[in-house]
Amino acid sequence: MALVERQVRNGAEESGKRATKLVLVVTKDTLDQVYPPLILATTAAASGLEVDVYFTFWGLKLLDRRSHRKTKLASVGNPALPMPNILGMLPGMTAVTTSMMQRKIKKYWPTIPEMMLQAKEMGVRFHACSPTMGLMGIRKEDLIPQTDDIVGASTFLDWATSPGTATIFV
Amino acid sequence: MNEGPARVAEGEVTVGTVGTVGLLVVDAIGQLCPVPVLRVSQGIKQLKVGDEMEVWATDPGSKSDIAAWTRMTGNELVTVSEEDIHQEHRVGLEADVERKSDSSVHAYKFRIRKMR
Repeated sequence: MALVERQVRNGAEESGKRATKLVLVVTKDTLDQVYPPLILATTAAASGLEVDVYFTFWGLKLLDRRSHRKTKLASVGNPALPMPNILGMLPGMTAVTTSMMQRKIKKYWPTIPEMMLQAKEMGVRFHACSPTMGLMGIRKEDLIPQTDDIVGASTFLDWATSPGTATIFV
Repeated sequence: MNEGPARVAEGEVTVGTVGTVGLLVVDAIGQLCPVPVLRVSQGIKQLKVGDEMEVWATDPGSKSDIAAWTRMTGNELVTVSEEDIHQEHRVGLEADVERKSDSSVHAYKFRIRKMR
Protein backbone atom coordinates (compact mmCIF):
# COMPACT_ATOMS: atom_id res chain seq x y z
CA MET A 1 0.00 0.00 0.00
CA ALA A 2 2.74 2.41 0.98
CA LEU A 3 4.54 1.45 -2.21
CA VAL A 4 1.81 2.92 -4.39
CA GLU A 5 1.94 6.26 -2.62
CA ARG A 6 5.70 6.35 -2.82
CA GLN A 7 5.70 5.64 -6.53
CA VAL A 8 3.15 8.36 -7.18
CA ARG A 9 5.17 10.88 -5.20
CA ASN A 10 8.47 9.96 -6.84
CA GLY A 11 6.91 10.18 -10.30
CA ALA A 12 5.75 13.72 -9.65
CA GLU A 13 9.10 14.77 -8.23
CA GLU A 14 11.20 13.28 -11.00
CA SER A 15 9.40 15.00 -13.84
CA GLY A 16 9.51 18.28 -11.94
CA LYS A 17 6.19 19.49 -13.20
CA ARG A 18 2.97 17.57 -13.37
CA ALA A 19 0.95 17.39 -16.58
CA THR A 20 -2.03 19.76 -16.54
CA LYS A 21 -3.79 18.35 -19.58
CA LEU A 22 -5.10 14.89 -20.36
CA VAL A 23 -5.93 13.60 -23.82
CA LEU A 24 -7.92 10.37 -24.05
CA VAL A 25 -8.51 8.36 -27.21
CA VAL A 26 -11.61 6.15 -27.26
CA THR A 27 -11.57 3.63 -30.11
CA LYS A 28 -14.17 1.10 -28.95
CA ASP A 29 -17.86 1.14 -28.10
CA THR A 30 -18.28 -1.65 -25.57
CA LEU A 31 -19.09 -1.22 -21.87
CA ASP A 32 -15.69 -2.51 -20.77
CA GLN A 33 -13.83 -0.14 -23.08
CA VAL A 34 -15.92 2.98 -22.49
CA TYR A 35 -16.33 3.16 -18.71
CA PRO A 36 -12.57 3.30 -18.00
CA PRO A 37 -11.86 6.37 -20.16
CA LEU A 38 -15.03 8.11 -18.92
CA ILE A 39 -14.01 7.44 -15.32
CA LEU A 40 -10.56 8.87 -16.05
CA ALA A 41 -12.05 11.88 -17.85
CA THR A 42 -14.41 12.83 -15.02
CA THR A 43 -11.80 12.18 -12.32
CA ALA A 44 -9.19 14.20 -14.22
CA ALA A 45 -11.62 17.12 -14.58
CA ALA A 46 -12.38 16.82 -10.84
CA SER A 47 -8.63 17.00 -10.19
CA GLY A 48 -8.17 20.24 -12.08
CA LEU A 49 -6.88 18.85 -15.38
CA GLU A 50 -7.99 20.09 -18.77
CA VAL A 51 -9.45 17.08 -20.59
CA ASP A 52 -9.93 16.36 -24.28
CA VAL A 53 -11.51 13.11 -25.43
CA TYR A 54 -10.98 12.03 -29.03
CA PHE A 55 -13.61 9.56 -30.26
CA THR A 56 -12.45 7.48 -33.21
CA PHE A 57 -13.49 4.29 -34.99
CA TRP A 58 -16.14 2.44 -32.96
CA GLY A 59 -15.66 4.98 -30.21
CA LEU A 60 -17.30 7.57 -32.45
CA LYS A 61 -20.61 5.72 -32.05
CA LEU A 62 -20.76 7.37 -28.62
CA LEU A 63 -21.06 10.77 -30.30
CA ASP A 64 -23.60 9.53 -32.88
CA ARG A 65 -27.10 10.26 -31.60
CA ARG A 66 -28.38 7.05 -33.24
CA SER A 67 -26.03 4.78 -31.28
CA HIS A 68 -25.24 7.05 -28.31
CA ARG A 69 -27.38 5.00 -25.91
CA LYS A 70 -26.62 1.57 -27.31
CA THR A 71 -23.22 0.59 -25.95
CA LYS A 72 -23.09 -3.18 -25.47
CA LEU A 73 -20.89 -5.80 -23.91
CA ALA A 74 -19.53 -8.29 -26.44
CA SER A 75 -20.40 -11.92 -25.72
CA VAL A 76 -18.11 -13.21 -28.47
CA GLY A 77 -14.35 -13.16 -28.04
CA ASN A 78 -14.58 -12.33 -24.36
CA PRO A 79 -13.17 -15.27 -22.39
CA ALA A 80 -13.50 -13.36 -19.11
CA LEU A 81 -17.29 -13.82 -19.10
CA PRO A 82 -18.56 -16.33 -16.54
CA MET A 83 -19.90 -18.80 -19.12
CA PRO A 84 -18.54 -21.24 -21.71
CA ASN A 85 -17.11 -19.16 -24.55
CA ILE A 86 -18.98 -21.07 -27.27
CA LEU A 87 -22.33 -19.86 -25.88
CA GLY A 88 -21.35 -16.33 -26.82
CA MET A 89 -22.17 -17.19 -30.44
CA LEU A 90 -25.83 -17.93 -29.73
CA PRO A 91 -28.33 -15.41 -31.10
CA GLY A 92 -29.33 -12.83 -28.50
CA MET A 93 -26.32 -13.55 -26.30
CA THR A 94 -24.88 -10.03 -26.62
CA ALA A 95 -28.17 -8.62 -25.29
CA VAL A 96 -28.03 -11.02 -22.35
CA THR A 97 -24.44 -10.23 -21.34
CA THR A 98 -25.09 -6.51 -21.85
CA SER A 99 -28.15 -6.38 -19.61
CA MET A 100 -26.44 -8.51 -16.94
CA MET A 101 -23.50 -6.15 -16.86
CA GLN A 102 -25.69 -3.04 -16.96
CA ARG A 103 -27.66 -4.26 -13.94
CA LYS A 104 -24.45 -4.74 -12.00
CA ILE A 105 -23.02 -1.38 -13.08
CA LYS A 106 -26.23 0.52 -12.26
CA LYS A 107 -25.64 0.01 -8.55
CA TYR A 108 -22.47 2.04 -8.61
CA TRP A 109 -22.12 4.22 -11.67
CA PRO A 110 -24.27 6.41 -13.86
CA THR A 111 -25.14 5.13 -17.35
CA ILE A 112 -22.70 5.99 -20.15
CA PRO A 113 -24.87 8.84 -21.56
CA GLU A 114 -25.28 10.23 -18.02
CA MET A 115 -21.55 10.03 -17.39
CA MET A 116 -20.85 11.80 -20.67
CA LEU A 117 -23.18 14.64 -19.67
CA GLN A 118 -21.53 14.81 -16.26
CA ALA A 119 -18.11 15.02 -17.96
CA LYS A 120 -19.35 17.87 -20.19
CA GLU A 121 -20.66 19.78 -17.19
CA MET A 122 -17.19 19.44 -15.66
CA GLY A 123 -15.62 21.02 -18.73
CA VAL A 124 -14.41 17.92 -20.60
CA ARG A 125 -14.28 18.48 -24.38
CA PHE A 126 -15.50 15.87 -26.89
CA HIS A 127 -13.96 15.63 -30.34
CA ALA A 128 -15.20 13.60 -33.31
CA CYS A 129 -12.65 11.97 -35.61
CA SER A 130 -13.18 13.30 -39.14
CA PRO A 131 -11.88 10.29 -41.13
CA THR A 132 -14.09 7.95 -39.09
CA MET A 133 -17.10 10.08 -40.01
CA GLY A 134 -16.29 9.66 -43.69
CA LEU A 135 -15.59 5.98 -43.32
CA MET A 136 -18.78 5.18 -41.44
CA GLY A 137 -21.05 7.64 -43.18
CA ILE A 138 -21.71 9.69 -40.06
CA ARG A 139 -22.80 13.25 -40.87
CA LYS A 140 -22.35 16.37 -38.80
CA GLU A 141 -26.11 16.39 -38.07
CA ASP A 142 -25.83 12.89 -36.58
CA LEU A 143 -23.54 14.04 -33.77
CA ILE A 144 -24.89 14.71 -30.29
CA PRO A 145 -24.90 18.41 -29.35
CA GLN A 146 -22.21 17.79 -26.73
CA THR A 147 -19.66 17.30 -29.52
CA ASP A 148 -17.24 20.23 -29.49
CA ASP A 149 -15.75 19.81 -32.94
CA ILE A 150 -14.65 17.51 -35.76
CA VAL A 151 -10.89 17.10 -36.10
CA GLY A 152 -8.28 14.81 -37.64
CA ALA A 153 -4.97 13.22 -36.73
CA SER A 154 -2.84 16.37 -36.94
CA THR A 155 -5.02 18.29 -34.53
CA PHE A 156 -4.95 15.34 -32.15
CA LEU A 157 -1.15 15.11 -32.39
CA ASP A 158 -0.88 18.85 -31.80
CA TRP A 159 -2.66 18.39 -28.44
CA ALA A 160 -0.90 15.14 -27.59
CA THR A 161 2.57 16.63 -28.06
CA SER A 162 1.97 19.98 -26.42
CA PRO A 163 3.89 20.51 -23.14
CA GLY A 164 2.31 19.32 -19.92
CA THR A 165 0.03 16.80 -21.61
CA ALA A 166 -0.52 13.13 -20.83
CA THR A 167 -2.16 10.93 -23.46
CA ILE A 168 -3.97 7.64 -22.95
CA PHE A 169 -5.17 5.41 -25.77
CA VAL A 170 -8.04 3.05 -25.02
CA MET B 1 -17.23 12.02 15.76
CA ASN B 2 -18.80 13.87 18.67
CA GLU B 3 -18.53 17.22 16.95
CA GLY B 4 -20.06 18.66 13.83
CA PRO B 5 -23.18 17.62 12.01
CA ALA B 6 -24.67 14.14 12.06
CA ARG B 7 -24.11 11.65 9.23
CA VAL B 8 -26.30 12.23 6.27
CA ALA B 9 -28.15 10.10 3.76
CA GLU B 10 -26.21 8.60 0.91
CA GLY B 11 -25.00 11.10 -1.63
CA GLU B 12 -26.08 14.07 0.42
CA VAL B 13 -23.81 16.56 2.02
CA THR B 14 -24.36 18.94 4.88
CA VAL B 15 -22.49 22.02 5.90
CA GLY B 16 -22.12 22.80 9.58
CA THR B 17 -19.51 24.58 11.62
CA VAL B 18 -16.87 23.48 14.09
CA GLY B 19 -15.60 26.50 15.96
CA THR B 20 -15.10 29.08 13.25
CA VAL B 21 -14.49 26.82 10.27
CA GLY B 22 -17.18 25.32 8.06
CA LEU B 23 -17.41 21.56 8.02
CA LEU B 24 -18.93 19.61 5.18
CA VAL B 25 -19.72 15.93 5.64
CA VAL B 26 -19.57 13.80 2.49
CA ASP B 27 -20.83 10.23 2.54
CA ALA B 28 -19.42 7.95 -0.15
CA ILE B 29 -19.88 4.70 1.75
CA GLY B 30 -20.58 1.76 -0.55
CA GLN B 31 -19.57 3.76 -3.64
CA LEU B 32 -16.83 2.74 -6.03
CA CYS B 33 -14.18 4.83 -7.75
CA PRO B 34 -14.63 7.44 -9.18
CA VAL B 35 -17.72 8.41 -7.16
CA PRO B 36 -15.97 9.24 -3.84
CA VAL B 37 -13.48 11.59 -5.53
CA LEU B 38 -16.19 13.20 -7.68
CA ARG B 39 -18.26 13.87 -4.55
CA VAL B 40 -15.24 15.37 -2.82
CA SER B 41 -14.54 17.65 -5.77
CA GLN B 42 -18.19 18.75 -5.93
CA GLY B 43 -18.30 19.27 -2.19
CA ILE B 44 -15.19 21.40 -1.96
CA LYS B 45 -16.75 23.97 -4.28
CA GLN B 46 -19.25 24.76 -1.54
CA LEU B 47 -16.50 25.62 0.93
CA LYS B 48 -14.37 28.68 1.62
CA VAL B 49 -10.58 28.49 1.94
CA GLY B 50 -9.78 27.16 5.42
CA ASP B 51 -13.05 25.22 5.70
CA GLU B 52 -12.88 21.48 6.20
CA MET B 53 -14.54 18.42 4.83
CA GLU B 54 -15.11 15.04 6.45
CA VAL B 55 -15.38 12.23 3.95
CA TRP B 56 -16.51 8.66 4.58
CA ALA B 57 -15.73 5.93 2.05
CA THR B 58 -15.40 2.15 1.89
CA ASP B 59 -13.76 1.66 -1.52
CA PRO B 60 -10.28 0.37 -0.60
CA GLY B 61 -8.80 2.48 -3.41
CA SER B 62 -10.17 5.65 -1.86
CA LYS B 63 -7.39 5.71 0.74
CA SER B 64 -4.79 6.27 -1.95
CA ASP B 65 -7.15 8.09 -4.36
CA ILE B 66 -8.29 10.86 -2.03
CA ALA B 67 -4.69 11.49 -0.96
CA ALA B 68 -3.71 11.71 -4.65
CA TRP B 69 -6.60 14.08 -5.33
CA THR B 70 -5.50 16.45 -2.56
CA ARG B 71 -1.94 16.45 -3.96
CA MET B 72 -3.17 17.22 -7.48
CA THR B 73 -5.55 19.97 -6.42
CA GLY B 74 -3.33 21.56 -3.77
CA ASN B 75 -5.67 20.91 -0.86
CA GLU B 76 -4.60 19.46 2.46
CA LEU B 77 -5.33 15.97 3.70
CA VAL B 78 -5.37 16.65 7.43
CA THR B 79 -6.06 13.14 8.75
CA VAL B 80 -7.03 9.69 7.56
CA SER B 81 -8.42 7.14 9.97
CA GLU B 82 -10.12 3.80 9.69
CA GLU B 83 -13.22 2.87 11.60
CA ASP B 84 -15.63 -0.02 11.76
CA ILE B 85 -19.07 1.42 11.36
CA HIS B 86 -21.97 -0.49 12.83
CA GLN B 87 -25.11 -1.41 11.01
CA GLU B 88 -27.22 1.25 12.69
CA HIS B 89 -24.76 3.96 11.69
CA ARG B 90 -24.43 2.81 8.13
CA VAL B 91 -26.24 4.97 5.67
CA GLY B 92 -26.62 4.36 1.97
CA LEU B 93 -24.83 1.06 1.79
CA GLU B 94 -25.12 -0.81 -1.44
CA ALA B 95 -26.44 -4.35 -1.46
CA ASP B 96 -23.03 -5.92 -2.06
CA VAL B 97 -21.45 -4.27 0.94
CA GLU B 98 -24.34 -5.24 3.15
CA ARG B 99 -24.13 -8.85 2.15
CA LYS B 100 -20.48 -9.08 3.13
CA SER B 101 -21.00 -8.22 6.74
CA ASP B 102 -23.94 -8.54 9.06
CA SER B 103 -22.80 -6.13 11.71
CA SER B 104 -20.14 -3.70 10.64
CA VAL B 105 -18.20 -2.39 7.69
CA HIS B 106 -14.67 -1.05 7.51
CA ALA B 107 -14.65 2.58 6.45
CA TYR B 108 -12.08 5.29 5.84
CA LYS B 109 -12.62 8.70 7.33
CA PHE B 110 -10.77 11.60 5.71
CA ARG B 111 -10.42 15.14 6.92
CA ILE B 112 -9.60 17.56 4.11
CA ARG B 113 -8.88 21.28 4.40
CA LYS B 114 -9.61 23.56 1.48
CA MET B 115 -6.39 25.45 0.73
CA ARG B 116 -7.17 27.27 -2.49
